[in-house]
Amino acid sequence: MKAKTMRQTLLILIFLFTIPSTYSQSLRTYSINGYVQDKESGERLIGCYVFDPEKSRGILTNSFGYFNITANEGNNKIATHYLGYNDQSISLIIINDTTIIIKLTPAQPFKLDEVSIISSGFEAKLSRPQTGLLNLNSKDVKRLPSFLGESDVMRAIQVLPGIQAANERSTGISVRGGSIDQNLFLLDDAPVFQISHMMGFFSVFNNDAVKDIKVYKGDIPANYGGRLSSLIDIRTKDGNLQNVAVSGGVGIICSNLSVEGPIVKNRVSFIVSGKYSYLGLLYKRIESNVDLTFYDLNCKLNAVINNNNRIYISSYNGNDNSKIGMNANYHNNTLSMRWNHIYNPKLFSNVSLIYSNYRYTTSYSTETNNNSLNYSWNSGIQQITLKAEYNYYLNSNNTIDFGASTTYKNFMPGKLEGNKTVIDNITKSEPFSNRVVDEQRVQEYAMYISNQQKITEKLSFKYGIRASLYQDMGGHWVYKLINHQVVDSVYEAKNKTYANFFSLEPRIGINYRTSNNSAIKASYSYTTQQDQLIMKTNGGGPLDVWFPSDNNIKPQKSSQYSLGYVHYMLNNLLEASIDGYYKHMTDIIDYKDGASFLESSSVYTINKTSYNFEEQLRAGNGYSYGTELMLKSDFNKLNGFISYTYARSFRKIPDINHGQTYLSPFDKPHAFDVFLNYNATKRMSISANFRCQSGQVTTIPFYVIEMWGKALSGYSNRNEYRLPSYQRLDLSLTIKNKEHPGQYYHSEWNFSITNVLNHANIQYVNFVSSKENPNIINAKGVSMLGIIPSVSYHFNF
Amino acid sequence: MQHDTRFPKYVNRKAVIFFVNYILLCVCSVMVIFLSSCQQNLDVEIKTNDKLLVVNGEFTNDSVVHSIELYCSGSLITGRPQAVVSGATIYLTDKTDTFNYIENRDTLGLYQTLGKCRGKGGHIYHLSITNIDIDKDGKLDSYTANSLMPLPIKFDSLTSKRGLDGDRNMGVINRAYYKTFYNGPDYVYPYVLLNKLHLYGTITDRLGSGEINRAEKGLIAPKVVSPGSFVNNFSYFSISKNTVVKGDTISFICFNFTKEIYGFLKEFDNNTYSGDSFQENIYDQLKIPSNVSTNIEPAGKSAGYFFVYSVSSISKVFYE
Repeated sequence: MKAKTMRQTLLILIFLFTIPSTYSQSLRTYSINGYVQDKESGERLIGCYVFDPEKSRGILTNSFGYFNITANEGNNKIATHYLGYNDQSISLIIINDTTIIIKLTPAQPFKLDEVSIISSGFEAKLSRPQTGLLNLNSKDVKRLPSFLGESDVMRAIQVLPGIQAANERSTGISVRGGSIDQNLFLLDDAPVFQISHMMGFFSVFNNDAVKDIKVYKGDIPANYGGRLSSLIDIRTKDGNLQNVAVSGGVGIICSNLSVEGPIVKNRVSFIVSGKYSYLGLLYKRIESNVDLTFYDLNCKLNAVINNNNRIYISSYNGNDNSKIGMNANYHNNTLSMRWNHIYNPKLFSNVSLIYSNYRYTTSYSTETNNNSLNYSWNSGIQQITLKAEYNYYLNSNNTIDFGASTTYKNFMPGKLEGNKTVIDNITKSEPFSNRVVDEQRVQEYAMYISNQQKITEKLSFKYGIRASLYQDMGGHWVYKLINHQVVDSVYEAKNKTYANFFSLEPRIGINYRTSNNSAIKASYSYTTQQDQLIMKTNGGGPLDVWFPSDNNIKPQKSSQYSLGYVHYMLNNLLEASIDGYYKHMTDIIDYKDGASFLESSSVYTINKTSYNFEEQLRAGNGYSYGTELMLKSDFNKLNGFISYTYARSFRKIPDINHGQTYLSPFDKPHAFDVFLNYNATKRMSISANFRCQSGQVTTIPFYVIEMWGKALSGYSNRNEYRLPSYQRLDLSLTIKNKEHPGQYYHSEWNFSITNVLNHANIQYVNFVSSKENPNIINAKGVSMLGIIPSVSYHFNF
Repeated sequence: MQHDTRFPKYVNRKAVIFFVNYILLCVCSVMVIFLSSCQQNLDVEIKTNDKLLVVNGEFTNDSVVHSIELYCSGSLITGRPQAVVSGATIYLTDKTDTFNYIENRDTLGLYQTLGKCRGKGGHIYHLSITNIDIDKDGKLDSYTANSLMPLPIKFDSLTSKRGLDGDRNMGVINRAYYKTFYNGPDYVYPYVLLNKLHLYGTITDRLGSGEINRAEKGLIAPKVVSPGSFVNNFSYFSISKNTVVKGDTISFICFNFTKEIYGFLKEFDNNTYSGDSFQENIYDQLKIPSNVSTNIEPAGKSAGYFFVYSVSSISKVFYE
């Protein structure tokens, strides 16, 4: 019976694959393949819609600007839609497989006396079976009011529906109720583990180096995995293949400079883009004990070997130094080497070797009457990945993606080093080095296959599966926990595998066009996350620790169901959409009640071996659901969006909140956003961004009891209390300097005001004893940002 | 192109304009940094129902008058102190015997049994507290607790003789031999009396888990998993030679309690070790806030503990 069912399934699949091609075999068909690029710079364009206008059938260029469509023998027309560029239409006579390079011209500067409209690529959105995808580029980021004078990629992503900032001073995000560690950030395919600078005010992504940003809110393509909530795929520019170009900016917090150009014209190009913050230098004038500096450096080399081969080498290097009480130093770097190869017009491949490293050190000094203690805490994660990805354009109705990867990861969750000095009759200083948590190694393998299939003119499917194997390798002590207490430990030999986690992750999507300008979409995706992050604060901080899943803390899993409807109006310039989702998560982790992030005994006890922090964690279930409504415009003069999100997020984990369901730290029921950009004249534009959302949840102390002469404070249920709501209005004015015709040098001033209403948005609450009555605890809410004007100057030539 | 006469011929006009713009930007930046506001502290109004019933009482197998104290928790927000709870109706039962508690007329909030009474090891005791309205909502509230009184360890004998202790110091070496049974304690808290005076000594449990720390408030007792069986054990302790003389009475006493009580005592210690329940030590700031556990139901409306435990003891007069 089972064999019969399998045969039937196989026959149905073969039927689905071959019916469209069987029909089209009555006419000869050929491939039209190639790249879409910027005419002026040679930059390959990602996500450009290339289509046959007569058949309304098309495809998006892949992450490297490559496309392939099937055309009949004879006369054909190819057209393009891409935001910010003029549409193009090309007539071709096809007699065999044809390779072309389509060069798009950037859209003319906006003219007041024209009612011209910039196309928004609505066709692609209406026919693609993908839910929860948001697409941005660096120009979109610049249109938003700058934050302290800086256009920041993560700040732009935080205003999008379904996404919220972990808190105001953090660039971490919560996507559809998930925690901030459940988001995968890729920079040219390299994972970035720490995305914040300066305690969270800025992100590590340099907007001048960014070409394309895709945010997948849960419906993650099968070629990616390892995180539950979202994928943020950021691609950097390749470098101008034709001319040297320089751009930069000077602001009150930091400055940036980008230089790009050809090394061999039309063959080899480079781009170097850097950002440096000098806020610390200014602060030192006021308070010599304070230091706050960071830098980012993006470098990329792009070489066109021949028509079928291209190589990219891109790197990122970033560093943070902060000294406010505690010293903290973060270091981030990535290196990606990628080789594109076209085997034949239907088969495109990308092979990558990727390295990613994140390391931080925090140090602290304390002194009591007779003792002093200086220590530093080191933690980090490194990984190397080799992967091969293929796009196979089977026919005009089927595009198959498949590939495989292998990754080696090294975790250093925590190492403590320092000096302890006892000042007594004899001053005695003892150095110590405690392996608070052993280094751990992981080997991971993954394979995937997926197909995007057009069944009819109205109906298209996307289905795929990802398989992954996550293996814990030995070379360290492994602890056995029973009832969350270490009962045994075993030293596992190096290179021996002591735990394996295999997962199959289906990803399914469907798109049905209800009319020429509307569509219904639905999707289901199952994802797993094996790399775990434990955070002291909900927005992340210096004591965050990455560690691998093992037999005590199993991988997290998530099933997400999404349903959406999108409708275009007014010549497809107004987009209205509604998306709903339900997400169920298992094995998510949280600290138990009373957990300690740094056991005092591990600091004061010398010769103590590894301390197992897994005793502090508990795993359980979570669920979230919500609805996202958005109205978005793409008019020439006025563009932007209005959105409302209703979203809830809950957890139920044993030993937390008496085992009862409690609010997730990222539960914010209501969020209302308005972003508007108005191009007043050719030289002046004004933008405004307003957000109003529910306050952060928190746990507060509110009662005290006395037993045996000692006072003991008591707390509310976990996350039971909600802080006042959050509101912020940012405004920005951009004025371009006058230019003469043919002038190469362009410059503009940007004036921004962050938090125009000067609303005090409380980030956290401190509880301090009242000076008048020590029995009274005053709740002091801390707001980080008041009204902050900023000014910056930008240039390019 | 005509030369701009505002600038000398040898000066690059664009460079000057750029330089002036840059200076203006720097001046604006400095002004902005000094003028703009940053961190603000604001008073936050917190409205909570912060009235919990606090119970502090104990019940043992000793024949004594047993007591329970009832309080209403204090408020950290208003500074209202902990207040006694008067007029409650309290009884304790193991479904065989029932003990009623009466409020002491001189000390409100203190409830005591009518005369001496004792509990029995191996029995589960159910505490009931009713006839009070803690949250002042006009409805009477009821609270309960269920606790097992562990079977006390049974001492067989106590040997004492002079000799060298583990640290090679001369003293009086003592061994208290005992048996422990099914439904016995998870932990024992031992202490030594010399002529009825509390005495610290080094106590070790050689046949137990070996994990000892007086500050941890208990020794892990050997576990008996089969009903009807028992485990032989002994506790070893030493007293320094200058303390004990012939004719002195050496007593060894153990409180036998469950792991739940041990957990409460440990959590209470961890949360109050600084002497101030409000955390200023960096290690406290690096903790997830949590409430000390309680065995009073309903959870979330009550705090404190009702301690049900058994007591074992053995004494001996010391001869040289």
